[in-house]
Amino acid sequence: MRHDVSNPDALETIDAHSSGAASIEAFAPPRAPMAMPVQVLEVSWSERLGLASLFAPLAARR
Amino acid sequence: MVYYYRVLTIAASLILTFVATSLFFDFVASDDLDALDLFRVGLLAITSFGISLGATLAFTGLFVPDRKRPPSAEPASSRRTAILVPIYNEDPVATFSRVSAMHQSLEATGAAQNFHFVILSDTRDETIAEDEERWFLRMVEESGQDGRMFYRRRSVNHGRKAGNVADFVRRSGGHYDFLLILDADSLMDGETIVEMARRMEADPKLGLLQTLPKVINAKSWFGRSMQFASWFFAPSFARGLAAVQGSYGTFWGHNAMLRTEAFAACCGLPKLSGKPPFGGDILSHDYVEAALLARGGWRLRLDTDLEGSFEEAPDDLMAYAKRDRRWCQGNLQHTRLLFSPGFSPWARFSLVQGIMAYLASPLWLAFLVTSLMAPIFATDPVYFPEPGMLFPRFPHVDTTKALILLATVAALLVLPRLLILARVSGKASDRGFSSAAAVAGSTIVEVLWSSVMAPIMLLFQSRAVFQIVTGADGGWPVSNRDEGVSATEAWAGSWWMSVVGILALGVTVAFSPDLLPWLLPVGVPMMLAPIVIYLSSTPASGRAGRRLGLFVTPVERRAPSVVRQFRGVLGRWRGEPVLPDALDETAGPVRAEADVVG
Repeated sequence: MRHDVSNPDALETIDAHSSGAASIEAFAPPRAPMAMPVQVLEVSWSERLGLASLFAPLAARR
Repeated sequence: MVYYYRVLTIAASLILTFVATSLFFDFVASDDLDALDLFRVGLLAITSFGISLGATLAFTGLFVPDRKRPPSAEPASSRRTAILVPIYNEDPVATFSRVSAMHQSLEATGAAQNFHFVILSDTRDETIAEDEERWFLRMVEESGQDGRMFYRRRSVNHGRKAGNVADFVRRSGGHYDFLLILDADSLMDGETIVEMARRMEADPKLGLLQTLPKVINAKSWFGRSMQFASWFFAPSFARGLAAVQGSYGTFWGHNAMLRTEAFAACCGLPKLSGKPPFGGDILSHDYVEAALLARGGWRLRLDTDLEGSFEEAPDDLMAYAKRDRRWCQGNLQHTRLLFSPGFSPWARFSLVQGIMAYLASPLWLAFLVTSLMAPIFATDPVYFPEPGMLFPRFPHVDTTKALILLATVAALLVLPRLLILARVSGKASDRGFSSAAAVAGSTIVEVLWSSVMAPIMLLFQSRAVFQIVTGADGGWPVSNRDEGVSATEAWAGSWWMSVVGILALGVTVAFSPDLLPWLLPVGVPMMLAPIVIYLSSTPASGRAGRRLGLFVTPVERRAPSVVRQFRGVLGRWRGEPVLPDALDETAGPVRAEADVVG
């Protein structure tokens, strides 16, 4: 089995202690999901200067 | 104290830059100042700041007390640590030999139960992937530890190495308090790993603990010179860096322990808008992750007193340049992140430093080219600037100032090394080097060898910067440290440097023969680049250096047990006799065999 990165649920939860089988699939790391939010690194200059919020009412009116 | 060190270091760098720049300004102004001269003054100001900063960091490192913390008497951390080994088409036998050695080393501490090894494969080559599975299973079988060793391979390499680690954190991070991030060629002593977890546990706000990895297993002249530098010079530079950075330490991407909670909360990297080389995945992710951890309020520390942290490095200039090309693209990509929200001023300064580390080469090149052009474009001297003058006024070129400038730049490059030598040579034997005379000889040869390599690296880096700014993406090349370079490969990869060197010297002879002595130290290594690259990459060149007693490091004289264990496993798995280092007073075939797994 190859792990499908686009679908975390597709990963089998395998207890490596009890596997006993010499198969690579038995050695998947233990499943214990942790949130890892994507960080904001790029902010446009219009947002920095507050221009985005300045024009927000106009955009909302449309 | 950190601010004191920072202010001192930056102020000293600025003063040195000012001295160098004003000397050069006086020199070029002595025979009429034109726009080209002012451009050269600007180039020198920028480039000399980089050199000055490096020198002052080394000076700081020399004066910062070398605080060695005694081994902690505290019990080992009860927290769980995942030792992550991201791999990408590397040699599985070598990689798993290292893991096996680290496992043995951890077992010897008696605290191995809380440390899990996780191999995170991004390998695309199916043959190598099959080998990975085979050797992993063999490693597990021999170690008898199928509950603490894991392997998984991604089907899609989103985000390269950073994405590989992030994928693990998202799936399994909740199981671990700490993550020890390694490279495929990293090797760490069990005691060091246990001590790192202990220090992480002792400081709940510590998000990252970086060690200073030292180079091991170098074979060639080039590799052994780098290895010597990493053992002899790097600790002083790193101490200076640690003092200046304080709790905003550095992250070099491997041989470092992270707090999972901090890493998960702060270090989810986005793809940058646009296409590579400036858009897409963030390549030099470690610098950005450091800035993000600091933005999240976590402390980062570089503990230079932690021994037992090793890595391997390219053994030839071609492989080194290939790795450098990747780092160059990653660092130049940081120009997109200089104004990222919430980064501390020091984080931004660190990013600028990383960018300038590569931009310095084309700037130096531009300085050299414009210096060659200056006499060609110089206006004819005016011997009678004022009407009615009876005697001509001859242009005056202040050679003394030029020589003082040259001496200043040379001192900035060489003096830190000589001061480190002066300070450490007395304790050379205590630190595992053979003698004060041996390290003195090695230092002098290393300085000379660096001056031969510098023009070659200048051209490699200038080309890399040019390729990147013109939109060429370097991709994700495999790091293979074992290959070496043939004469044909050396020629194919660097013939153009010979052309540049011949052209530069030819133009100098034709238009500015007075400059020839100044240009020879730069032009000759360029001209001979293919020969230099080939000869310095052969194992024979490395052996010759050893026979002369040059570049001998403590690891060659008495390899730490984890290094011997690694060599033992690797030799056995490859079915090769485990040859001891010629100078190693402890290693030998029998001992290495005794150290094998299982």
